[in-house]
Amino acid sequence: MAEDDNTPARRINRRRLLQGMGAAGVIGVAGCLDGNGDDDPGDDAADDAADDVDTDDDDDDDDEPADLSGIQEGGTLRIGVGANIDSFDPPYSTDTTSSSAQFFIFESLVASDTQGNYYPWLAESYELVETNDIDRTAYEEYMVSVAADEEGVLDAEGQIIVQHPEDDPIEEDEVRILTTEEAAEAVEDGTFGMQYRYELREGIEFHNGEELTAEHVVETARRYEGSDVSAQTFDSVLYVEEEDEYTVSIYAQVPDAEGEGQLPGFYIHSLEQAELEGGEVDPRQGNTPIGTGPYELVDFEDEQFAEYEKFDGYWLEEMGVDSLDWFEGDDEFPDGPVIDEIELEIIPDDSTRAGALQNDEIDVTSGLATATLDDFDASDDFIVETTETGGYTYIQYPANVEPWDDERLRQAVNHLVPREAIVENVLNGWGRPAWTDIPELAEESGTADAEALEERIRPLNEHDPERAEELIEEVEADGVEFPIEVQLETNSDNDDRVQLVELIAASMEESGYFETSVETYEWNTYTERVLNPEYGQEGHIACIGLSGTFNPESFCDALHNTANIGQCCNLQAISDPEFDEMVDAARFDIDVVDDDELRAERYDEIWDLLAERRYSSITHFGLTDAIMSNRVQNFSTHPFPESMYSFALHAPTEEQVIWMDDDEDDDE
Amino acid sequence: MLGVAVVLLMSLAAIFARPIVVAGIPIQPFGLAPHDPGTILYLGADPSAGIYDPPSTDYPMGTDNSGRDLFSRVVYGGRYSISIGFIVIAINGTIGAVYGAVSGYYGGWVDEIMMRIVDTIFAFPFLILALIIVAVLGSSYWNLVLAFTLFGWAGYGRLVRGEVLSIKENEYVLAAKALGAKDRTVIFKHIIPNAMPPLLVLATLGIGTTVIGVAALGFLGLGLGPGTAEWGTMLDATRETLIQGPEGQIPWWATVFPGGAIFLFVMAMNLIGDGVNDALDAQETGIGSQGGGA
Repeated sequence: MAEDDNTPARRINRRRLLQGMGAAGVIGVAGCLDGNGDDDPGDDAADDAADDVDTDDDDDDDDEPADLSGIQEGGTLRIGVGANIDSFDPPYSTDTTSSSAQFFIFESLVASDTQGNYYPWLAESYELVETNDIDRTAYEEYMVSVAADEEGVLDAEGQIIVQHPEDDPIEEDEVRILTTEEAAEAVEDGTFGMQYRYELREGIEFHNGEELTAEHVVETARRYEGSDVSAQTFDSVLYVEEEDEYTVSIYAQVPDAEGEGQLPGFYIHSLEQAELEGGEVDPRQGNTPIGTGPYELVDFEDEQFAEYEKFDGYWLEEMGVDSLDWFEGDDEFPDGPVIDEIELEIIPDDSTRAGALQNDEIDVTSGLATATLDDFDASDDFIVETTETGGYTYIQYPANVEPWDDERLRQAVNHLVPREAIVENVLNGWGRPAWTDIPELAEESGTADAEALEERIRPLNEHDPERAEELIEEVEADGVEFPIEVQLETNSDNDDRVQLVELIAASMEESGYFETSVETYEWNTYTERVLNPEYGQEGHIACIGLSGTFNPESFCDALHNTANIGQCCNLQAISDPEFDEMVDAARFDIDVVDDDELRAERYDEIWDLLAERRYSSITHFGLTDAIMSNRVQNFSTHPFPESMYSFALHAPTEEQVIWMDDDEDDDE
Repeated sequence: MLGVAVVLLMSLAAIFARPIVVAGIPIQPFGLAPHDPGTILYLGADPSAGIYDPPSTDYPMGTDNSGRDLFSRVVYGGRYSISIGFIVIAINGTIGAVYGAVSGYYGGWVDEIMMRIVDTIFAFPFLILALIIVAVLGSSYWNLVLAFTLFGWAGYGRLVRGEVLSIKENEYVLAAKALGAKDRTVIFKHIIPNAMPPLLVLATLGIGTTVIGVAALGFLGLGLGPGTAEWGTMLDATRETLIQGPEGQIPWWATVFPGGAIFLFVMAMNLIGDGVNDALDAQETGIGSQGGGA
């Protein structure tokens, strides 16, 4: 998933761009663009996870069980966020800040912990009922033909669930597709890849008094059709079926190794709001968002702040945390968040947020320039908590433009990317060089042997100007003229990222084979620019941040799959059928659904392929960071920035709860 | 004279900061600055150098946020600011002189229309106009020049027009016209040369204004590309250091030296402007009090 740091963006389909450096997503989603390298990560959460990689100088004590005896109820948590809340409408937003603002209000059928394990949440229980060994051609008999215009745009109404894999909308006038209507028929006949059945808890109340039923899930799924996250949702979901008032089944198109986390990724809407048009679940449209979550939105001023208050009828407080079958925690663990009010203060400039934190205008923030983190970390008045995220920053080469279509040239530049210097000098140590393409949190399902993978791939990613020169000389011998002029681009509102790009440009320039220039754009302008399908023809090297998940696919698919051209985040229109096939086989194949080892091996093959073709260079994996005043007690970070605050406030999966210690500061 | 000395020194330092090579032929082989302004020291030149190293004997002005030698960058940075200042003023002065002379010489509805155009331009804040132009066209050296010249000539036009109104009544002008000289000859041979003194004073002060304007756009992130050794852009890159974490130390050298260079140059240009004004009879030109801020 991609997410953008602070910023972002619309139309990015379930991934989130990171404006900042961290990033990742919550259940079921795939990626978010991240604009700022340090700020905001992604969105979905989920999958497996991460042990938190604390930076060495951290003083956290994550391993000790928290002492819950000192919990103080009440108070207000003031959070400084680095971007405006673009939307409160879950399927119509893809940036991390919006997601984190929504997660106080909306919940899913399933919750995940920081390790990527799943737990029933709004569902009391769930089970995998059936798996069928089929591929997408199995839907052929249910498909209908629709016209395709010259550009491959289909004349179809409603959500296209499956497009016949053998039809090419650009080459052919008609294409066979499956929409929701035909999907229902297929399911009725028993044609589907997987079926998960969810038994909903009875008595869960929405903020408007409605009671959660299967109909809510069905209507929510309908609202995801044609939304900003439809591509990421309906790459796997086939159909959502109400079995009885409190039972719902979600079907997958084909066997999906990520089905457990991806299928129930809907944030459940009230019936009152499930009918609204896209983007209308938003106070700016006159609709206060209604969910089942622990907080209600009470006030919102665009570009200024959002205020939440505890919801009196929160189901978990009504039922008690012991009603969660899987909960085995402390008796003292509260049934819901103990903080009464939340204020999200929107403060785009990171140094202003640093100042606000020191002036006691906010209690906690994230995404500060790494240079100031050391100061906060050293101070007794503040606490810095970090965790390695799935958020990563990468540069992508214009592989369709000469001479960049030569993989040796891309490999050469990759050897000029000084990953260690980036982490040490640009990030002041607050990150980890990307020696392979996956962070620790995705290693469990993403490689059969992480050490062996690093041993194999790391030499290809080392800063090695000599090896770069050898490769360039080979390219030169084939008639390519040097120096090559190239422009490197990134978003201007992330100082660390700009410096990172400058550093890569300087390193390329130093080799004597490149004449580089650096161009920066405001975040929204930039995402629009790089997500344009024509961008790949311009011949620039683009740098952006993306939020990944526990799913190893999120570190390769979004960047390189043909399906993601013009979406997040195959910026350079890379189309490699061999890669597409491999990435599909590592997830949508019955063999890998049942065999984790095989799946990991298939990903290993993908990393080897990418190391050779080198369409992109991932520079480093970021940290989710939270910097707070010492009044905030027991804060623990989540690997996905968009989930950080909702997780910290109350998460029975890991007995996580924060409270405000008013004894620390009598002024308040 | 002090102003002239400072400007000369800074200009020469900028020119001789690094060798200038055109089409592979070195036309200026000297290199006063010890490092290329884009060289990130820790990448190879000096692995022990860090970011925001304080001034030392090796790096008299310290290093910047990317570990580049600040002294080299400040010296080299004059190439951008000073050259843009001179180019912009040359263009503005030329356009303004011709525009004002035509307007003042012909008078009547020509003057009326031309001056209303100038009024329209004056109705917009100049720096905002420049900012919009750069934002629309993108940032590059020549786009900056364009941003400061597209409407920047208006003040010169108005000044020259005022001068011409009085000059054209002089006997030598009337005589030239009576002798049948063409309008073009009269304007370029008799009128513009006599309108030069006030124009020169305004142009001298205008260089300082332009340098500040370029630096202002750079500071707003709309000047040259990030990492360019232009003074305003250098200040922008260190902006975030002004708010530090608890007990953090502000790397003062990263802002003081580029800021000082801007101050020194603009101050010197203003001194020169005053000097020229005095030399050319300030009472007549009456513009000695202008200049400075963008």
